Amino acid sequence: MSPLFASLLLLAGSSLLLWLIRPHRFRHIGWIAAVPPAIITGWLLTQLPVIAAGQVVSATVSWAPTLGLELALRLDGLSLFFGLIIAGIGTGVALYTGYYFEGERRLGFFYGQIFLFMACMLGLVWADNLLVLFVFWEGTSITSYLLIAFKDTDKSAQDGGRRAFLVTGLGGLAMLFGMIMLGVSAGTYTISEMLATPGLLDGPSLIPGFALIALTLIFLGAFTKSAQFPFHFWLPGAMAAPTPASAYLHSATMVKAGVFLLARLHPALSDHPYWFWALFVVGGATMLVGAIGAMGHYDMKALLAYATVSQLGILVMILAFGSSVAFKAAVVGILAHSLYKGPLFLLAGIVDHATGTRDLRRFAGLGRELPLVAGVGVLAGISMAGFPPTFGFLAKETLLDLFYQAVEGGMPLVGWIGLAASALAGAFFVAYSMTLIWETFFRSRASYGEAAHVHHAPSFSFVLPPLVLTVIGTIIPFVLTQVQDTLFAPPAGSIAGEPVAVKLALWHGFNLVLMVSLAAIAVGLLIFAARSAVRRALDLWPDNITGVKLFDKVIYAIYDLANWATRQVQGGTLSQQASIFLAVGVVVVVAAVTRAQWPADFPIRWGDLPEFTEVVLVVLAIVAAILTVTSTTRLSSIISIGIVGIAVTLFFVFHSAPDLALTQLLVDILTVVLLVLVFYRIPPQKLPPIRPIARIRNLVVAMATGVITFTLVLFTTGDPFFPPISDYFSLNAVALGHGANVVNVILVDFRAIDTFGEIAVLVVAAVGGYAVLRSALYRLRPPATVENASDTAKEGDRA
Amino acid sequence: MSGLTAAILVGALFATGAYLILRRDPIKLILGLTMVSYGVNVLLFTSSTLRKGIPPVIADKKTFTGDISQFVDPLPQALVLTAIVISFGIVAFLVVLVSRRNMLVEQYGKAPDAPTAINDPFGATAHYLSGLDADPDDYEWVDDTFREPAQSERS
Repeated sequence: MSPLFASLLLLAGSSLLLWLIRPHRFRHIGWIAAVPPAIITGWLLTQLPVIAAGQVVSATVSWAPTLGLELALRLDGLSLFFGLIIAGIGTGVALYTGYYFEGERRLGFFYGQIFLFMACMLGLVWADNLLVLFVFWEGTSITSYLLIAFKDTDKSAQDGGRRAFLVTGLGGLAMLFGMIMLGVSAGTYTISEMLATPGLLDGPSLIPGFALIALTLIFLGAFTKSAQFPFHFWLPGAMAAPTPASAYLHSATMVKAGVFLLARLHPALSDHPYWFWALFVVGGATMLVGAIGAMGHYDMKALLAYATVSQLGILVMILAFGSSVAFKAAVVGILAHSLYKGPLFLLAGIVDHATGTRDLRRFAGLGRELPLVAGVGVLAGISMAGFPPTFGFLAKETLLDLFYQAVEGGMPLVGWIGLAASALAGAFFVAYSMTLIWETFFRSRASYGEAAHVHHAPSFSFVLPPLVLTVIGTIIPFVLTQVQDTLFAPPAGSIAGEPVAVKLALWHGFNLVLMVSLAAIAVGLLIFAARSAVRRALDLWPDNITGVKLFDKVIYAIYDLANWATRQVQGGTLSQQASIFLAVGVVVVVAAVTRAQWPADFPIRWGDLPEFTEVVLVVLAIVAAILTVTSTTRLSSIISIGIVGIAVTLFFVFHSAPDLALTQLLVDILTVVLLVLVFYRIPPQKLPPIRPIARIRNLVVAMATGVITFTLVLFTTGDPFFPPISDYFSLNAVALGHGANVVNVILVDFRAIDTFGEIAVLVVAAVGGYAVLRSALYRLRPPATVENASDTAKEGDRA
Repeated sequence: MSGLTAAILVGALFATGAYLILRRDPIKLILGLTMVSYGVNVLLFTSSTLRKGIPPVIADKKTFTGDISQFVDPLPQALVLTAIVISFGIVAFLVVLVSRRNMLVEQYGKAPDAPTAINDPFGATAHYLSGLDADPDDYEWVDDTFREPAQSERS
């Protein structure tokens, strides 16, 4: 088996196993759980030189060939790069989780979900078929929902999970339509073939607006998943998830799926001007909203969530461009972010675990109590802030360089706007990073409430995952020449669609970019110094204009609409509902009959002149039916309907259906006996007299129903009923069923399972009837009142 | 029989059945459903050729030559036969339901309120967990079969 499939199966199997063994019983289960992702990380590392040499690893299993659906996986530069992040950080998170939950019963459930997510996420980035990618994409949405709502009795977790799922789920559906449009246009769903299709966005037959619609749908999927403005609000809400899930899904991997999709489709779609403007504007807005919004929060995880939103905006904005600097910036940005934001989330979890709070206002001098945690925090924090010479600094430099190149390369307006916006965002990056690290670890006094202290020191294994990730992130900028060809060039080449040479360096000499970078740091330090004023200013934003509130309003409007529509159709009395039902049926039949193309010689079988006996029969039935309606006593109604039944029986007798006649007669007698037995004694209910308008409505609906069925029979009578099927039964009744009565043979032999179903219906009706009657032997005693309950208690005491 | 008379029969059965269903008396509802099911059965039956005196029974198994034109289409008959029995099952169940309802009306003087929130069928205004506050253990089923009438009820 291909290692690609083996990896996915390994994770899926681990998911099940870790759930079943009830891992909370084992203290150091984290080390065991980290093994499967570590194996995959190791295998992916061995593939680095192979992929860098220009090869690809692929594997295909046929799934539903008629739909163009095959389970195709393909490892190229980009999918290897993402795979390494997913499996590598997954290893750390698996280890961390064991210590985070520390004997909690639901650890196994959490492990099961997070490993299932890992499998889906790897499948997503490895997929070489758009539909397969979609399936894994939805898989990550579902596991994300389960993980956010993990604390299932917590209202904020339920709400956060539901919002996240609705937003990403709706976006995913839109994306599916976009994918189908692209697939139809390309004639294939295989991504690698699709990317090579010329004129992919022109559509199958040059439909006007095809490109616009297809791109919009794809963008909806990518933007909702990657929390882009105005859909960004679900990500802070997702912080109700346990911290390992926040660090892994909602920072390092899943939220980058949208960025991944844009990068994957970049070679085929980025030439369209709409691509550039949508990504540039949305990404830029997200960057600023996230960066500024981060300053307004005291919860460590909320702050980090907004910081993540901002970074995702940067990545989307980078992908708007098509220059080699852009590919470089995207790759560096993705890795740098994963290597500092992941650890910072994990540290937030450790602090929470150790002190019981994540509120920045309540920490005082935590660095002395948790020196190792503080050290790791500082390393990751300066990377997030973008201080030289960190990985974050490198990412910021390449970003600013991208806009500088744009200025030089003939897009001065875009370049200057981008440069200014990024510098502003960079200043806020510095400010919130400093705020986070300073207030958590170094401030001497708590600004609100009692200072939180460590009551539960973290073990070294607990701190190890963020430590290792941070150390890797710190080392990379110093070994750039060694890693740039194997680690950074292949994914950049995948995004570009052609090999790209990546040259990275920390030091570019004194140039404009460095000046801007330093200026951003200076401004950031100023904002940090004035942070209380900034926070007060951000507090002025009205509470009811937030994404969450607006989204909830939309959702509740949909509920209200559904309620209103249901009340219109199903409110009130049974007769109202029934008349709506019948009227709709009449309208549908009339519409179908009048709109159909009838052949000119369509035969309406008026038939021969009716015989005398037939006329008598029908007149009998009609008179009895009308008597059933009009008679004033219950007994005469029941007798009249018995006569109708006998008329129908005679109808069957006349038309060569002895079995039907026999059955109908028996059922008719049974029905009459049953009705008389049950209802004869019950006094008539005193109902208010029927209103004239309701009577007229009933008459109209009833007459319309009658007329429609009358016409229906005229149109259908005598057309043989699927002759080939019937003939088979008639011809083989003797040979296969050994019976002369064909109807009986059909019932008990050819279609015996149908008859079995019929018997089952009777049994269910009988059991149901028995249950209802049995409940009549009991009556519901109302809940005991408080006095009664105390009385009972006293009696109990006396006894 | 001609198609016309069959069509009139079906139309009459459906019209009276629909009218009965639209009435408020639950017993009329049952009668209406019975009537409509008669109509449906005849409607299904008319989809075969209506002919007299040739039931789908093979007269002599040994001499049967495969000449199926000597009797009518058996399939609609088989379908209708199933339909007759099933509609009887439904009517019987409805009879039980309605009679039970009448017992409750007698017991309480009016039909007990249905526990459905008709104005909010999708639960938009109430959290779905709020219903869990009502503990089912608060209620209990009391066997009333051999209950001695209370003093107040005797007089």
